[in-house]
Amino acid sequence: MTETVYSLLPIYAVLIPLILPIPIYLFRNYPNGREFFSIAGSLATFITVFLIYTKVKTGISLEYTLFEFLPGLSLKFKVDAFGTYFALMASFLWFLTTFYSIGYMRGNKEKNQTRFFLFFSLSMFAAISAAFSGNLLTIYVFYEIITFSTYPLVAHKQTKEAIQGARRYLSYLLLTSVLLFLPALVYTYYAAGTLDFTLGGIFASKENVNKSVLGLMLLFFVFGSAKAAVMPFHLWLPSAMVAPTPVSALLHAVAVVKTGVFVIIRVFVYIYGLDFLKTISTSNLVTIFAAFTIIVASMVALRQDNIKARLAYSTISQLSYIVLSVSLLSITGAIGAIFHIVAHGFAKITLFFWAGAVYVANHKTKVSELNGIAKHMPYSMAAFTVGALSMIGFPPMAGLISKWFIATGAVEGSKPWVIAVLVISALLNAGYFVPIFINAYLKKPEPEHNHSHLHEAPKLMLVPMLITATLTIFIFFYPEFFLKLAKLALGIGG
Amino acid sequence: MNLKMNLPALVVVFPFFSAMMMVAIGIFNRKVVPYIFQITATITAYFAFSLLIEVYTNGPIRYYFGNWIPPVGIEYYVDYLNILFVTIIASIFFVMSFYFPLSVRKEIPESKSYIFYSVTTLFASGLLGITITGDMFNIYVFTEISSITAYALIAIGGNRRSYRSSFNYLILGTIGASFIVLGIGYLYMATGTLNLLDMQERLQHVYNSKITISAAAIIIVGLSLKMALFPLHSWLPGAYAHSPSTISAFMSATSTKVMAYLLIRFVYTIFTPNFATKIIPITDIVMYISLIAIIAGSFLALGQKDLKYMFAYSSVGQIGYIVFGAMLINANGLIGSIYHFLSHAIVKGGLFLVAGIIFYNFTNTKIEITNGLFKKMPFTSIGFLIFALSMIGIPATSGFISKWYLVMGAIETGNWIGVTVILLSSLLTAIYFWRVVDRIFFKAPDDDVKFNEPISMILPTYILAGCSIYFGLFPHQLVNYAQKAVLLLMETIK
Repeated sequence: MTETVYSLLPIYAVLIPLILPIPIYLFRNYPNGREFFSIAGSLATFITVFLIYTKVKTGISLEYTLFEFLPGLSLKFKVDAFGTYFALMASFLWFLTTFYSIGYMRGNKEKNQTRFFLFFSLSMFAAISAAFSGNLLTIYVFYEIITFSTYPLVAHKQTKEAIQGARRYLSYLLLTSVLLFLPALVYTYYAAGTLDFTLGGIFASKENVNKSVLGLMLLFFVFGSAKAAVMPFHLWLPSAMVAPTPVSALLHAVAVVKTGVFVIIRVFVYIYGLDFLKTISTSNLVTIFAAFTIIVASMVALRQDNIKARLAYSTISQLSYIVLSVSLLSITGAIGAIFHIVAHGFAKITLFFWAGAVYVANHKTKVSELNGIAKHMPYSMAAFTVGALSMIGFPPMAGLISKWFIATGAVEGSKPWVIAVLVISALLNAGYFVPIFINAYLKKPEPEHNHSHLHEAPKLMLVPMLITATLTIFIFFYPEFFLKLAKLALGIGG
Repeated sequence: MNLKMNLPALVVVFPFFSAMMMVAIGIFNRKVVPYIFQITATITAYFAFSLLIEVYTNGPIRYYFGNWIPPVGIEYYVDYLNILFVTIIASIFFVMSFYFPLSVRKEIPESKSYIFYSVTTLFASGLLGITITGDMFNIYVFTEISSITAYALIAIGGNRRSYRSSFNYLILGTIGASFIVLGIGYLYMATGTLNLLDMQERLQHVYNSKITISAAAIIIVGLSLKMALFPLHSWLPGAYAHSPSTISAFMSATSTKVMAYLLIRFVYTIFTPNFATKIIPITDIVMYISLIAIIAGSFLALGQKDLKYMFAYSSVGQIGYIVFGAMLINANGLIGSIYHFLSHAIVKGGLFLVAGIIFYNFTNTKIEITNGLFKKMPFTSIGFLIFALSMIGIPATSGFISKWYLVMGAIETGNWIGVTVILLSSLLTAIYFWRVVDRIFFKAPDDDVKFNEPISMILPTYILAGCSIYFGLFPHQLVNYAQKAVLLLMETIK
């Protein structure tokens, strides 16, 4: 088994984004200084996380207990391979997004930029802390902090629509986490006496556990972690799209929603344990709910004209891939779930970057307005192409690999019908992305408009977009880097 | 040492005589009275803490007044349960005493101020007396002392509405007190003693007697009235909203909770849970009423337009938590109840202090004036935020710990309705506090007037806020104390 070492490194990694708001606030009247700190802070965080990675990949996990509330109930960090995996992706994408945000906020002349960067940093603090959490209580705490610290970001524009969207966002996430997740958490503590993440689960060694209640609690966990947007608790995601695009990109394609699925995987693999779950029938229900969400969300996406809404429904569908994959209860399925976090993360952030670029450069928000735009922004559209193809599962993009694992996992978990879901969903994905290709590449722009003002996105936005697009391809050819961590996280190989 | 031996008496008698002194001195020199008041509060708190240490090192104390052995004489009985409450009341009194002078100068006519200080001290000594005494009739006497002083304190506000509220409370409070004294009379008829422990012993033989049963019913109704348990709460909102800021803060933190303490005393020490399980299910009935109270209080708070009214209705809901935990007859539930006693005393007291600072500047506490308050009164706003989070029960605040134990207790007894109600009301609490938080932090202020936040008012508020966070982060010791108290109470169940 993995060795556990006490280390302050995780503390440093979360302290940086936690205290970063202070210089950001102090330099509120000097945008360049403020942005310098944003960039330096996100880079420092990434480097710290990378240092952690160099330790964790040798098979040790870093632990640091902040303090113990009560026996068996503590706030603590325990950084294992899975946590590192998630933190690595989140902090790297944060670094890229910082550049992009600067380009976006300045290009768009948004107000309250200081507040924006301040809460952005706080949200990242919470997301990385959630990744490093060593038990269910800690992760719950940071899950809630994410909700609260992203609220001002979603409401950023402070228009009536933005405030309504943000309220819906807040109420959905709070309602589910408090009414479903919290009781499940307390019950778990009551039944197992501990909440620590343990590979293979904490119930396996316990006798006399009430399996029917635990089955119900499993559903509570899945729906309580509404950031994963499994239907019917998905509506907050489209309404949160009122946020500025960098927020949607990082938080709603990566940090927030991925924390949701991260929690679900933690619960499946480290609280219940995959083997123990085979004796609990409700895990099949989770598979069915996830499959339903994949199909239905894709169908809804077909009908969205607003680019960001279409992407939002695509996210809902893709997140359920992860939930579905882990609910197959096979090791391969779990690898697929973990891998898809990264594969989808890189592809989806590219797509959101693209949507923001289109908006800032040309003020277009609808699919039907994109006619002939590829001629004016060729690089952005290239990035989009990579992202969209990865979503559909086309080689040579990262999305294919996770689908491969999910399909294999479905056979191993003896649920071959899942493959049919994958195929249908791939077709539907193509169905909602292809019209964008057609509009952008093939259709002629409407003649009555003057098109001289159409141009490519600013460089600060373009470069991050191209980097994530390149990485999406790169991951296809060199998946080992992530696969190794995923396997380590599941206790095989390493 | 002599002082040490007489601590149980001193805690009550010292503020009692000090109150008399204040009137006598106030006639000649009004200016010294506030100082005497502060010294009194400090010394009382010192006595309470010494007593706390004494009880926890050497076990419960039975103090015989004038060395008359009970059942003839009056006994002060200090065990692990009530010493906690005594300490809480005395400390809150001490912390708030710093807040008094400025607020009193603003709200109370100069000529009445020394009377005001005196009556407040008398009120505090009455509350301390109720908690510490081990004699039934003494309980009634102290209840009357604290009630009558409370009527006066509410009316001292001097406007028509405070007279009406005071009169309203006078009528209902008197009915409640009559019920209590009637019940005590019945118990005396049944057992021939007024001493708590003695009565517990003798009452076991007459559980089946109609007198005992009706005494139980009458006392519980009386106590419900005095603690404003829904639907007998109608006196409370007016009393809190129209009394001087200092009084609403101190009363909300202590007075109804002392009645909840009495309920615990009656149910656990005098009748013992055996009576409830074997004869009539009073605890079940009161438990369900408390659940209704929790929901009703939260809903009523939702519709209020005035901060003080909102806090008052929220108190109606919160008292439900304390009663609910106590009525579960479960160790964890009772710990939750005791912890909530502390948590809510701190938080609600603090919220009323915040309302007091707002009143100090605006001379009203309507919710609509809080728009953009953060820009005008930053310290007050942040204090409000901390208390609001604690009310909601966000982790790392004291509210979380108490809810954790309450939910644990409910789960252990299989009371899923209770679990749902507690969590649902947390959400409602979140809604009605978020409404205000939203205004304070995210709305633009109506004008640019800067306001004064006097340090003597901010400091006590922040001490309470700090306590709320401290007891949220380090609950260990207090939970141990509560556990000790609970073990002693639960001993009677055989």
